[in-house]
Amino acid sequence: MIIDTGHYRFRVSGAPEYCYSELSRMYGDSVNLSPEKPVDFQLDFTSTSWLRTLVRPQRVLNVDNQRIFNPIAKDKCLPSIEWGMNWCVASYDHTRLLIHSSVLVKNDKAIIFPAAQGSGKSTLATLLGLNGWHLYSDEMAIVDLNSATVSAVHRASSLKNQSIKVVHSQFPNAVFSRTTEGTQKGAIAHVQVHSRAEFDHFGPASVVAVACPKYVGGARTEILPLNQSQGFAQLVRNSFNYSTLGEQGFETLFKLVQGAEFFALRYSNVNEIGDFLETLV
Amino acid sequence: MKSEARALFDWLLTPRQALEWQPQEWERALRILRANDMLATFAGLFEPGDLEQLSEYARRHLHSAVTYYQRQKHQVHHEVELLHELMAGAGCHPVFLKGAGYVLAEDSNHRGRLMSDIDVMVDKSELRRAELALLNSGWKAKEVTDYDDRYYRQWSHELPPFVHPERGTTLDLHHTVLPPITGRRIETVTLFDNTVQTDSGYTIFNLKFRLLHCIIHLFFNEDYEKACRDVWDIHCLAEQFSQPELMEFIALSQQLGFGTEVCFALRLRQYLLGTEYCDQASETLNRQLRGREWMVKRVIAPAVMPTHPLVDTFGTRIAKSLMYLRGHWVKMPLRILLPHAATKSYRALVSSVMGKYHYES
Repeated sequence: MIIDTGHYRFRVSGAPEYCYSELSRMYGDSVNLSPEKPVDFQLDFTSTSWLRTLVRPQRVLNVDNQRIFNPIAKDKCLPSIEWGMNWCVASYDHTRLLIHSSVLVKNDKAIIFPAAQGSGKSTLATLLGLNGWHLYSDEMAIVDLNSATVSAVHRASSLKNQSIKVVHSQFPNAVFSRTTEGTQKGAIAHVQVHSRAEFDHFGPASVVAVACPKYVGGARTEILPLNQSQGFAQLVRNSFNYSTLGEQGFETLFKLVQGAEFFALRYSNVNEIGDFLETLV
Repeated sequence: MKSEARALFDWLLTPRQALEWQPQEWERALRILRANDMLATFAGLFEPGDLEQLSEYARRHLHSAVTYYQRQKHQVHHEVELLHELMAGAGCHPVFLKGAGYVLAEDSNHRGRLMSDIDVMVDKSELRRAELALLNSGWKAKEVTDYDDRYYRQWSHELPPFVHPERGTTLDLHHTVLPPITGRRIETVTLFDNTVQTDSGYTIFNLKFRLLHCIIHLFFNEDYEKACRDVWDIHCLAEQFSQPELMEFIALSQQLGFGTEVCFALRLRQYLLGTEYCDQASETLNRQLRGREWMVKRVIAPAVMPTHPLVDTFGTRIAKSLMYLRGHWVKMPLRILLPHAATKSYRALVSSVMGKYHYES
């Protein structure tokens, strides 16, 4: 199966059958789009031994001749496909600046949310993406090296543990994947935020704000402005390939921060944050 | 042997053939080259004008690999500078080997060549000082078991690897080029006699010894997963010799006791890259390899093929395993190898039944 995410095309092979039906639901018209075009990366699942095909079936995910993650039970393969796609891009695309961050866009203006795992950036991005914003990515800001604009990828958004219920309770009609329990990151589900047709209208957007989110249960909304150098440092810290890009990376980030405001967000109420973000675009 | 794996060597020799590739051919080639760390090397073989004729898809992947390589090259220069200063300060005389050596010498194979570590050699009498200097300036010895540490110090030609946690560099500190346990050696004084200074004042092996070391590395290694790169190194270094110089090189290698390895390597180059030698060199190769020519085609060539699910065959896998065993064989005498093999094969047996990752899950 081919998944065309815009900038990157992936082929998935050897995955358990259920993964393909789940991926088809998540990615809709991006599945097997333009089959004549080459793919950028191939994700191959293989069995680990003949006996393991019978007893406690295990699969291992390979990119070419590299095993990229530890083997997993057959019924836990779905999140690995998503992580595998991220791994390929972060490991091999040095033609763009990649920042570990979600990206939301409105009125062609982008806000990026650089943050580590567990900050709630994906949940925030998903909730707002399902509520009027354009979710360009829940995982990686893809920054063009010449224009310093961010571009969208057509990917499902990743939710962990309680976030799955939170999003489901507010958007019961959204398209959710099945939940995979007991992965190394806990329970994982994916949700489709935009259709391919919507995604096709998402052009490059300039970054107007950089907000570092921190979800704290029960906390009052706090918005702390940061100065440009603090913001710059946050972007560098969360970048996958800033140092690989060397001077180009610096120049791109330099251009990006010129037009942006910077904030640290502490919140538990997504609506209040949403209202604040509206004021920036 | 299926011919597909061999195609990689043709691509390197005549990269312009790629101007005619269909998108699917590009996809296949990119995957094989990238998996074998040869993509940036391949990219470096194009003229700028040719690159412009390629599809956006091909150009983007080549460009990405080149960017990664350029960063690494930059880092190598930086590390060499720091290490040279550090070691000189400790009264040591470092020689930069292999990848770092090719970069400093600007051998043609350095373009696009990725490396996983920096290799430095000092005289054995300077080893302790060099080690302390590294440990005192932020380098850490990689954690190895006591058994392995003892093995390294007693039997190996290098110390357990060092890592620099801030810069993310790995360093191998050698005191000679061959593990003493192999029973083969080149006198230290000969090694240091065959060094040269680069324009920036760093010490590397001269061309003959860069090639000799590269060949020794290929034949005294056990990991043949990415050996296609060694073949390309050998080719690019050997290419710099005139035919008389090549004869001198063969004679030198015979004096030093590595005539067989060198003849195997030169024959391998001829077999995979179609190099032609003068009559005199051909005669020497024929004589040296009489009765052993089959090993080049049946064992060594399949073992140095690029590795990829698209091109791996039963033959290449067997050859790589044979060379793996041989690599261990030459590094471990029987009294060590047998108990070692017994432990490892019990684990291998369990793995073959329960899957390779039984011990990890």
